[in-house]
Amino acid sequence: MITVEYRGPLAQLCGCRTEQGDFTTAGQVLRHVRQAHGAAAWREAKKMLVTVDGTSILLLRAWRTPLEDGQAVSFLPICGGG
Amino acid sequence: MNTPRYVKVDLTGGRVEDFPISEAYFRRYIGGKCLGARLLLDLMPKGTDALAPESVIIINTGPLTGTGAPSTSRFNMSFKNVLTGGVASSNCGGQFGAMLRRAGYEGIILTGRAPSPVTVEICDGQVKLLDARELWGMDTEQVQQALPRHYGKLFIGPAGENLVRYAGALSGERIAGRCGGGAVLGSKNVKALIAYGTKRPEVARPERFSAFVQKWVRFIRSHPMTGDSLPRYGSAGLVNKANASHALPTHNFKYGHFDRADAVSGETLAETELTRNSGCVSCPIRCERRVKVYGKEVKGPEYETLGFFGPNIDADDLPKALELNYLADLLGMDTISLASSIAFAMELKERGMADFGVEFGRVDDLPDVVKKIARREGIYSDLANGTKWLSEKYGGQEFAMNSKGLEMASYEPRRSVGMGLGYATSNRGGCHLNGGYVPLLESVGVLQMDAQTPAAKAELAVFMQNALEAVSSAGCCLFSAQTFIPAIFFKLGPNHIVTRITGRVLSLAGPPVRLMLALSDLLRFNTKYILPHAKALGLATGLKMDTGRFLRLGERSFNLERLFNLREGLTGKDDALPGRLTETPQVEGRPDTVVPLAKMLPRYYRVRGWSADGVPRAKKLRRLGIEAS
Ligand code: SF4
Repeated sequence: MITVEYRGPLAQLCGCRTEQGDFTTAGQVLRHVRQAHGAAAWREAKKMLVTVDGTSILLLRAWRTPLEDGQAVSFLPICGGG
Repeated sequence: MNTPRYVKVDLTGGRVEDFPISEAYFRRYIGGKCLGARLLLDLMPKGTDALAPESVIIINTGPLTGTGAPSTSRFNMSFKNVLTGGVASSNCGGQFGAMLRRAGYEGIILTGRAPSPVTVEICDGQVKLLDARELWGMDTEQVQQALPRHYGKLFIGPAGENLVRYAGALSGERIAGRCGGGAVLGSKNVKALIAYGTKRPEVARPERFSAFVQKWVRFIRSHPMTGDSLPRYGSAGLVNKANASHALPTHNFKYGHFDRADAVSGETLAETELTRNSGCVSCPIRCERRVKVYGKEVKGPEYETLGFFGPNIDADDLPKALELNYLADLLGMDTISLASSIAFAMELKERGMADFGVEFGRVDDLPDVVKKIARREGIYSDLANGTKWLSEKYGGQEFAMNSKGLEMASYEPRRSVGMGLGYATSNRGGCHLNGGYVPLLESVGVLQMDAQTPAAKAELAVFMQNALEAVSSAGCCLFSAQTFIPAIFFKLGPNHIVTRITGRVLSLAGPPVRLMLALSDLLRFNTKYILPHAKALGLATGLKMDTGRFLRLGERSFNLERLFNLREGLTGKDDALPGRLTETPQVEGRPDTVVPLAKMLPRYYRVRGWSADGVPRAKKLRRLGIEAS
């Protein structure tokens, strides 16, 4: 079971902060967002920073990053500052 | 031409005299950080201790300060760095800078030591020294309340009075934190500077200026970084980002990833503790967090503070991090150097080298420790001297996380090697901003170039260092420069193929960026997309200003500060990092997870036009119009 976490405006668009499901890749989670929460949520989700257990999928295999039971996928807003 | 009006105050004898800035100086050095560095080179006697009476501190504004242009409440403090012995500058917001200009001055130069505590009052063109004995000993909230309400105020807390080497000075609730400026004021017996006036800063082309400002504000508001993410999360939003890239200092920089980082992240702060966002005067970005501590609303923490009072000491207690941030402000200390000194003490304890009663993961007694450091009580007085001093006394230089003596900011450079180069070459020591803030392109921004490769890092560090120097010299907040990353990448997101390819391509940007730096005189254009500050500066001063001239101003400033460091005995050998970062891979078995400083530094010097040992060549100085002091 994978835990999916939505942060920032995406939590409002999805109507929940977390949910669980069986997914095998990060890309599958993104597809789930479209199917379950609609196009607006999907548009927001795909421009966010996506992490698996806190590590950016950019350091892994991007949308093809494989998921294992018990892992958490988070959608985080892009931030700045310094 | 209206040249800036400066005043020099000899605190020892109480003498106040106007200090003329020539037109040639104004044209070349403009103001803020750049003019501050020039004046420091001219006025500070070589080899003077930072806290000696002869030491000089310049508190000045840039031509845009207080003009109503976006994010221009800023002023600068230039002085000898208490932690490094080299140059220091600190760019700060609040009301003091704008009020100093309204009071009729663009800068004030302090030297000497007052026989007893004073407040320097600058009011409608008059400067007076007022008795401040009753204010001495007050914390920063008490002193702020005791000073006249409508004035812009700059003041120190007990840490500055007790010469804590990383004491800062506060303007409202903003702090000029780094490098020990609060200790310099404390050593001079200056508790506060207060400014009030009714003279609006003049600009050379008022109509065009105000039309451009409106356009610039609209642009800032429409950009996803400055119009959405900074107002929503502040810099605190970077905790999860740095953690995601394994660039979040954890356990005194031993690691770059903390499993419980989300507990102290900007997102969690926004969801659980934030009462509202706020901002400095005339700033459309409004990045400041407001939170409740001890039942009252106070300024919330920046990213650095959350990182350092969180993962870097193995802690995930957000309310405690807010409390420590508040106490550091209340007592007048830089949170980066303070928390880094505490993390170093924790590692000393872990290795059995010294015991200050602090341990990784234990935060309950830290408020007491912070108070004792500010008071320099007992053994805690050692912690008030920073990590370099501590490592000279107790050992552990390889894990004393400073460069030149100034503690590094909250970016783990083994997973952001351009930041490693920036820390090493920053004139004021381990500073992310003076280091060029390359992590924005390699580890925490929307565009992510290869964070491990040295390719293009020298060129990008030089370009960004110059740009940020110029922004600061103009009198602007550095966050206002973050619009240079095109909005389209935020719309596409970091995982989009176009964004990823652009990130990769940036690693090939070395030669073109180097060419652009060499031929910056040919960049005779102004655009709101990259450094709109240049156009605003031209309209405000009446000087010819374009992107190329603006970058040249930044380069001049950076070289002047380098000259000051060299004069005070800091050399290329001091462009260094602790062994932990250059010798021990962050990830076992991955030798690329060190900072390849030895590879990047020679290239950096070449791009800068410096000799192989890091000295600006005569040809470079001539080109920049810098005369020897
Ligand atoms: S961006 Fe933040 S720190 Fe900078 S001027 Fe605005 S409110 Fe102040």
